[in-house]
Amino acid sequence: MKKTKLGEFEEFVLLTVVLLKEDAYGVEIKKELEARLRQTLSVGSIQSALKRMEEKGFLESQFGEATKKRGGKRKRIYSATPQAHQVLNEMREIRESMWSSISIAGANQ
Amino acid sequence: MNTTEPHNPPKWMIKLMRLIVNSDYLEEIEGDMEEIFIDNVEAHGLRRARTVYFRDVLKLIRPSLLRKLKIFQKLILTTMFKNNLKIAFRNILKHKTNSVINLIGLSIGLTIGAIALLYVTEEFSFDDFHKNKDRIYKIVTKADDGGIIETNAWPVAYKFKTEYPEVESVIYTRKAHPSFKVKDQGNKYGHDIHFASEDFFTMFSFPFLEGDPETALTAPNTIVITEAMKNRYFDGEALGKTLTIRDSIKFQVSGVVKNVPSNSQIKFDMLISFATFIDMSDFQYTEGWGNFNVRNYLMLKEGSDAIALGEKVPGMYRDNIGDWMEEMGVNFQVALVPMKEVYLQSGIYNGFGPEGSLQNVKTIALVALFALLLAAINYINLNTARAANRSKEVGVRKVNGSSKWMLIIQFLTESFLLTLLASLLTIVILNYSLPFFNQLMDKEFTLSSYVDWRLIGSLVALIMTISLLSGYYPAWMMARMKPVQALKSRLNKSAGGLKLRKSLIIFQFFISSIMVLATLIVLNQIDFMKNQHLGFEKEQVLILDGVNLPNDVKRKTFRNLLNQIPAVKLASHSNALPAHPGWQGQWAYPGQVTDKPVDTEYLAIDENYVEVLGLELLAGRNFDPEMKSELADGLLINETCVYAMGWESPEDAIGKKIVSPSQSPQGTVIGVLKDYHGLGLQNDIWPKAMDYTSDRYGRYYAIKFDAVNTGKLLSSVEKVWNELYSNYSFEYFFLDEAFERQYKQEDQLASVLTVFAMIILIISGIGLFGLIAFIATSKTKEVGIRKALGATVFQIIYLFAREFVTLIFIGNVLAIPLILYLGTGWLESFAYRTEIDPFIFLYCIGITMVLSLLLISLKTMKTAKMNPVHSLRYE
Repeated sequence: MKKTKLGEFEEFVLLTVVLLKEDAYGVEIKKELEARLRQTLSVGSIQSALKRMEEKGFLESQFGEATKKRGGKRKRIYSATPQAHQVLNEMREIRESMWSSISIAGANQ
Repeated sequence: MNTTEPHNPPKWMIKLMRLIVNSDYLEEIEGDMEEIFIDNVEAHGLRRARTVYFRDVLKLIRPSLLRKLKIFQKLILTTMFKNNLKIAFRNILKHKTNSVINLIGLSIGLTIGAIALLYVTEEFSFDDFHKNKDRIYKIVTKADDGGIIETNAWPVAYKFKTEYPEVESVIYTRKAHPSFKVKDQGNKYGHDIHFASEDFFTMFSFPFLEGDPETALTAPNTIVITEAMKNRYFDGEALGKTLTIRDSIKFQVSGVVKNVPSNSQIKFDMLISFATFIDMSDFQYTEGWGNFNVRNYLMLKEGSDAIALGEKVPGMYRDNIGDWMEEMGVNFQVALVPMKEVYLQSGIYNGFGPEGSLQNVKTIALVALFALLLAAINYINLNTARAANRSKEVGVRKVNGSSKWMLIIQFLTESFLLTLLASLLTIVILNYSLPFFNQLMDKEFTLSSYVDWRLIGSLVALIMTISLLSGYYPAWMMARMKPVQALKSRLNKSAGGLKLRKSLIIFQFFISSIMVLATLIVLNQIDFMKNQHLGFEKEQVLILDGVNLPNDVKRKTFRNLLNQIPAVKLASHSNALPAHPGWQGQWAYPGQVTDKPVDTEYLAIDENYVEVLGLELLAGRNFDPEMKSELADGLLINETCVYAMGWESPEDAIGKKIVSPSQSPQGTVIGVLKDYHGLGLQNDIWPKAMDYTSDRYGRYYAIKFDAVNTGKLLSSVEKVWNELYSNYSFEYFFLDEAFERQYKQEDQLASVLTVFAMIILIISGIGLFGLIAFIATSKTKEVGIRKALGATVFQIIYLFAREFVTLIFIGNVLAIPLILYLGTGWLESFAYRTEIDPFIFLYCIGITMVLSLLLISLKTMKTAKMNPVHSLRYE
């Protein structure tokens, strides 16, 4: 089903959310992902991925604390839903099984 | 980072973000953006942080984050609209060259439109902030030749206040003498200082930060300053503190007002109470009908009729000084000009601030309109040309039941989408080009100037109009195709709208030629003015401004000391120089006071003046310090003055007497000077009369120097200055530069026109390029056949170029009569002017032809060079 599918970029963002745990809000996600992907990302691209995944039910969110640095605006902390964990695991299993067949094929050559 | 004062992202960017982002997400995203901004300020500095912020704001524009407007939502959900949008997007992406050409053309047009809109809005908003603006009138004097003197005789405003019950208040103002400089820690600083009477702040709305507007200007020696002045000279509150002006006069600060807004034609840094001026001078409110040297505004009581008042007052001068006016041969009338008209319309300078020009506003608006129109024409041309290629699409849609209107809406969606994209591009272009245009037009606009509902409204209207204008005709043309014909497709090839396309190209090059020709005419006139022989030598003359120096014998001593400097050829002392006129408007009469005065410029000079400026004597002789009687009574006059006085020739004028009610000029003519241009060539040469009184009235020292190191010259001159006048600031300039500065307005016009002409040429060029590109592709087969039959590359380019060259030529020719008419009209405002050089028409044809031939050959070369084997296989 379309709704349960994850794009490549969405998957990256989702993994970052899982990784960051309670620190998972917009700016931290962006920083983490920029460091890992070694490229600059815009706020818009991160935010639209987050919003899309929230709509698909992969993410939940709640308001966190407000800091002075943010001009008194609250953070929104994201966390992955059980459904997201399930999909991530499925994808990982599929990938791993494929990679293992490739390396087996490579070994046979 | 400066921790005490945190940097913020520009306000307009925040506003833009709030406008576009879905309000449910706003708090989170705004916070994120701010946090990143602050990180970036620390890491890369403010500039970089702002750029990143701006880029990020633009990147927030994506469907999942956009504000969900109800109407938008409904439209989006309409399947048809969604479909149209999809098709439009696909079409834009499919025809990339075409879309890019349209996009560039439209965004250049929109940029010019947006800038012109800002400019025009600001010009029309002048003085809008005064609460009483509809009741305020400037009092002016009308001379019988229809000319307007913007100052009044002293009792005029007084009479308005005391004798007309409908007048609520009047004010007197005068510009302070240039010697009014603020003394601060031993240094003197010049500011924009005026005298103003006590009702100034109840009449005009300048908000007070400190003090009381009703009483601030009542007492003598009080001064009201702007916030900027307060911050410069005082720490903390300024009210009640003292400022020293002109060496020793103490003024008590009685008020601080907010800085004068940029759209105020009344500009000042400081206002001194008018009572101070009355104390310092012999002037009285009730006397001095002949002293036209105060400026006045009046405010009517609410509900009073200005027209009725205006009809009662013109005879004020006649009733009071009728006999005198008759004797002097003059006639003055009082007139009222509504405040809102003073800046733009009446052509009256108010002595306070900038002068607007309705003509400039009209010119810029018109040019911007042309730029937009030409961009729209590009769209029309390209899309009607492509119509044939889409006829199959139209045919299929019609067969499937689409109505004409639905098709029109579909094609309009495309033009709306493209214009919308162009508008986004425009924001980016504006961001980078505003500083350039500010310099060009002498304004201080920023992108945040656009955050104003009226402007945003006008911009939206502009964008809508442009997309309708450019989209409607092609849409209508495509939609009306008959399905059978449309499906046959071949039939209609390029026939549709061919005539229209041709006329639009003619129109584009007609406008382009007008712009190019106008620029050439202005440049020619400037060139003419700058290279004309002026009648005096302006090179290598250094001028010292002695406006602050006391009038005593030391003035002459100083001049003599200057003459002893080896590098100085000769120094002269006088009250006037070219570009710095003497007393204008002095009445002089030949022999005795008769019926008609000669309007004369009076100069006070010395014996060196003629030689320093390199003036030529036609008859008689110069002043000679040995001949005391001639020094006391002698006059030098110019040629124009000879004939204005009614004398036969320069020789005839020698020994004749001139009299004047003010005694300046008065005496016997001892020499006649050949005419020279005392002012820029916009102006006629006035009758001039000079006497030997520079000791009394002198101001400038003109120093003719040898071609030496000017730095060395300046330091030796300054040394002499400091020997005598060490307390006074040393101010100098060069005569040639001062004279050139008179052409600033024309220079500015020339650069504005050059830029706009280039932009319009670019837009026309882009359109032409797009059209040629399309035609070249659609004629690929024809070219192949021709080449197979032996045509050369040149012949093929000629084939493409022939038609366009004719069109461009027609556009050029049509421009000639209009530009002759407009150009002659403009040139007539100059007293000395060139003829319109017929060669400019050739230049213009040359410029447009070379440009278009270049574009045509660039694009057709590829098709023409193609191997016929490939081109015949094409399609």
